[in-house]
Amino acid sequence: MSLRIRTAAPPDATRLRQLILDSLPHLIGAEAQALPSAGGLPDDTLMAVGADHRLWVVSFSAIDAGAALLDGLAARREIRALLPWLRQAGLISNLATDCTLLILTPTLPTGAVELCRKGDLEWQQMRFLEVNGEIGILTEPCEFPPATAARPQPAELKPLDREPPKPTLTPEEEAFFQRL
Amino acid sequence: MELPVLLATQPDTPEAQDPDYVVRALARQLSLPGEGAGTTWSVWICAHPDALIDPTFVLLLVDPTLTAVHTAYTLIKGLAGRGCHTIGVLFRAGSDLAAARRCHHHLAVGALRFLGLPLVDLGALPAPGPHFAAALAHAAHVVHTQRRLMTSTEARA
Repeated sequence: MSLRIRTAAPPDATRLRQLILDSLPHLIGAEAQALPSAGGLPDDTLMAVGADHRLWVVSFSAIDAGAALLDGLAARREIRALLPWLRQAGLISNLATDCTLLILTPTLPTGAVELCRKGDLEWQQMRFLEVNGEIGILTEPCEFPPATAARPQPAELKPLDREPPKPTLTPEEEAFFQRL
Repeated sequence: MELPVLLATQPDTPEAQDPDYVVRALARQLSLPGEGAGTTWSVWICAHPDALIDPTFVLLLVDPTLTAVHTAYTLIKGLAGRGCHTIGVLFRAGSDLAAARRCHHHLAVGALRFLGLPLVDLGALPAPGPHFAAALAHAAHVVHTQRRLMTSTEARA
């Protein structure tokens, strides 16, 4: 049987969400499980936990990379606040103390490179393919080597030779402020 | 909008609110929709008045004690000498609002008498609770009013 593969138009949001849910084991490891949506998370985000008890926030968009980044950051902030509740509800392990943000978009969101380099989030490029008439997603992780360009260093601070002089109070002022 | 804060407070006083907490709470209050709409407030603690470049409006956080009032007056005198004539005073009153009122009165009278400088009264912050929130809102309102006053004065000049 031959495979007919070609690029496809992005699916609608519901279908995209389902495709990403199906791909979770490939994205964040085998035995990955999606968690029920908690709090007021944005529509284009989901929460999942891997076999290593690591908690993930996956934010995705087929058309607006910037929105996916902003929504992902907002969702992670929300989930960090909900961590004690999630632990108490037994939805995540007590070993989960933080969550990792994964962004899935066709193009790199503006400003994401620095965050990726700092290890603040992970980004995978997401493309849409049609295989034998079935739409699927192809995700490719990207590595961001540390920036090599030397950053401007702040000027060296030298300690003050002495404390700046305090204003002296006149005897009248001293007397006035010796009692209430 | 910059609002530097100078401290005339006793450090390591467990029963009093941490100055960092007060500053963060005030920054949030100042930036609330309404009076704060459209302005981003940067409220920060300044270690020494000499570190301020061209200060226009400075906030003093003061404890209701004789020592703190003395420190506050010394700071005010230093600021006045550098041309800063708009100084807001907010007392960290805790459970003794009466002491805070007395201290504020004494400080205001002293500043007016010796420096000819009227202070902007931002009130006193009681212990945490509903009254604290109200006092914080009052302080933020006075800061907004003062800023509008300064802006209109600059526009006229």
